[in-house]
Amino acid sequence: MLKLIGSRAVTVLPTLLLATFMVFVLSHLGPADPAIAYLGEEITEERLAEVREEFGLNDPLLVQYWNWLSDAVRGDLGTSIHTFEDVSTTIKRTLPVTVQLVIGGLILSVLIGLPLGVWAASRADTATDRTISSVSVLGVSVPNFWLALILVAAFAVNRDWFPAIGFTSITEDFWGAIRHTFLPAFVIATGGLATVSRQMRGAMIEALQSDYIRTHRAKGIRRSLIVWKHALRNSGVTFVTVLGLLINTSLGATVVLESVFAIPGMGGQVVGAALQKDFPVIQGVVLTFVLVVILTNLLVDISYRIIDPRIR
Amino acid sequence: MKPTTTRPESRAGHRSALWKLLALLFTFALVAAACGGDDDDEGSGETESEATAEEGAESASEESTEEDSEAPAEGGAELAADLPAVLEGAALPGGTYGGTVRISHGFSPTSLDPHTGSSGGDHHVLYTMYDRLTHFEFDTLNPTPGLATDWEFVDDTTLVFNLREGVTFHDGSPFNAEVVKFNIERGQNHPVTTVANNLASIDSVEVIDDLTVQLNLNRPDTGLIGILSDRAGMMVSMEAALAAEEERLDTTPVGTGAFQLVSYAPGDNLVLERNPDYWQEGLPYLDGIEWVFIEDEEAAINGVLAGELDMMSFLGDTSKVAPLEGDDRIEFLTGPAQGMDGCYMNKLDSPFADVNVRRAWAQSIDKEGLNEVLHFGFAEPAYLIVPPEHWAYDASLVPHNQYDIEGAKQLLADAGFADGVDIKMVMWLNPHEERKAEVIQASVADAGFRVDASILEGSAANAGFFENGEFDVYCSGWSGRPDPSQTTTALLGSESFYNYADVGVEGLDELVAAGTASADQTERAAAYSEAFRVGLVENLAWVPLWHHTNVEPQAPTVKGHQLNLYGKIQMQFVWLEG
Repeated sequence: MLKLIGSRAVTVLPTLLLATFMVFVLSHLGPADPAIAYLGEEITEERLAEVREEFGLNDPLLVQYWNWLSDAVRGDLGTSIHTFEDVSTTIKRTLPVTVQLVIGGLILSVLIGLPLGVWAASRADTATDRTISSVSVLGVSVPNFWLALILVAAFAVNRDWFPAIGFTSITEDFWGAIRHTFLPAFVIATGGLATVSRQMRGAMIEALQSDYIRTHRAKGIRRSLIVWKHALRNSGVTFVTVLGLLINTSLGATVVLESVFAIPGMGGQVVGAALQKDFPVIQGVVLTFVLVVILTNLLVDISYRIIDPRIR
Repeated sequence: MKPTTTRPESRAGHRSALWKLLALLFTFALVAAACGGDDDDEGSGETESEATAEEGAESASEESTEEDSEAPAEGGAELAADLPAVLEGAALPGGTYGGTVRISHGFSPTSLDPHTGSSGGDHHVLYTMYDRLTHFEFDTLNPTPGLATDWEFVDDTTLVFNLREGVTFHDGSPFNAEVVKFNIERGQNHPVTTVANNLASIDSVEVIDDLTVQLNLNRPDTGLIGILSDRAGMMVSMEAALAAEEERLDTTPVGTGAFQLVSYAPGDNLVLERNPDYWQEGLPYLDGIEWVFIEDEEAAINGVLAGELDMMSFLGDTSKVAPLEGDDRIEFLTGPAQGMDGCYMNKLDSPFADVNVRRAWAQSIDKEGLNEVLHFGFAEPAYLIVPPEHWAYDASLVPHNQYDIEGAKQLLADAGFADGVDIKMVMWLNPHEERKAEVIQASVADAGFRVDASILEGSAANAGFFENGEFDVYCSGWSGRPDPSQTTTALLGSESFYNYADVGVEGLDELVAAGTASADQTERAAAYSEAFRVGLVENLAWVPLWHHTNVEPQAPTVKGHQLNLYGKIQMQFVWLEG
């Protein structure tokens, strides 16, 4: 295990460097000008020159990246050039919001997707299976923002079932948090449950057709026990893999959903920062996203070994 | 071998387990929905009407009073006649105390420090916390007393302000002449100031006594009175500023305004509470304001419809109004605004260097006809750079260079473009601006302009046009300023950043400067009229297209709210009913 973590740590560093460098270069290559964005409607030629100097925008790109990087490794992610807030403070405030949404989405995806997948597998090639498949495909196909708008109109604006906007942390008010998280989490889950159910269906069908299951059947073990205990356990690797992928795609989905539901999380923050050319915030948020993805993948790898000791 | 058939009871068992699970989820969601309280139940303040203003009500803007007629006018005690609220003409009778308004704003302010922030959109938020030396009448933007009770030009370059007595900042420190001197010098010299340009005519500030301050100017500048009702005239606490890191109050605002800071999370919300020592007696009505920063206007409207927001500071996309007409959960207050659409032109190295081509461009845009298409009726064709309600507007100049395709073709032919001319136009990335690009492109094509339109992100469009001269025309807009000297200098002055390559119109700079030579408003209006005639009618240094309409959505429980011509919301007169 330690060896695994060690070997992963070696690859983490280049991945982080590459990701942050690419974001840095891409966001600076465009024609956008952070100094002009910063000065807004109060531009004079003198101030523009001063601000460019102050932000270091006259330095070559590599020097600018190096300056950012050397501060970042010391834990200083800089200050927003739009709101003047420390980027690390912004991340500390917005990351838990996004994490709550993603976890909500994952819980719903698994709670609905897993039984559906298992159910479909145990009735492979029947009408039930095909219905579940169709619904799953629909879930993947419906654009998140569209579904979100429909749900808000139906259940928040026209009925007072859920709030239309905003956020409550689970640590402050449990039911308030559930109310605020349910709709966005459900939108995340429509894509997620489809992935979970499709992948689990495939894995379960494979498991159900394997020799040891046949042996169990021959021994007269109850089918429900075979399906839910033996076959499901052996689909664990697939399940964990899907879960890891879901975390990563759900993070991406929050970018759109946080705008639609006006949730003050990291996704919305990065959209605002991109519009304002607020490079320190873009860099900080992307760095955090990359770290979350790397950590998720590491946890997935570790859990492979726990679920299936044959994996080395 | 086919898989063994599942036993019926087992299948039923699975099905019931699944249904149980789904039912559980559904129940969970319903319980969650039911358990959450209504977020918006703070509006139940005690009914109190000590602070009502009869005179003030009369001069309130007509556009915004439609629903205000419902405000309970009877039983309200009179407001003392010298209250600044009356001077501003903005307090309506019948206000009730209490409650917190949740109001959305399209973006987080660039700073809560008035002297270091840069967006015109910050004012909405800043006004709730800061007072200015001068304020303005909502309808006309005529300067009125603010933190200064009166002022006088002793001579052309000496301006004396008498200051209001007994005003304190949110941190308890006193407001006095020393503080005014500190603020003006701070605005001029702070390393990241954005208001230095506004204060450039001030040479030095002298403290005459505790409540009298004298500004010594390096040139006549009567526009200062209006300028000091804007960002540059907002007074921050000297004690707080000196104590702050790098003397910046970006996230820790301390003013004398009606509301004071409770908490601030940039990009999320700003919570303010009533300033108990506010100098405008009886104001504000509200216990507090929660600003919520929401970029997506659709989300903000949903928030108002669902009762989670009380107000929106403004609505940019006016196409959202019509579908909600008749919905009793939301009202759209409308009124004239200073903001406008218009075209900046490259007068150095483009076809627009020739005034005939500029005139042809202006005459080929059907402002009347396209208004409905582009603004859904929420705009007026524009010919000058101040709106018709403004004191510097001169109706005798309007209209000019009207829609005339045949005339435009002839002008192009005169300029040597009988076969038409290729134009590179830039617009900034925004749904409204993109629609505007298409509409203009189609309209001017009839006269022979072959427009290649580029849509760029805002700062890129600005850099591309104003700095690098990569385009011939930039049809963007101008948000307006309280004093016309600011607008005319920016749009007509040759040395303005907004005038690419500083190509001026002969004599225009002098005419613009003449607008600040006299303190008499009639004389100032006459000077600006001349600047508009030479700059806009004859030389088309800037082409005005449409005056915007101010649209501010709110819940019907919000009362006393009146729009102002500057288009930036002021909350001290707002109360909640019910």
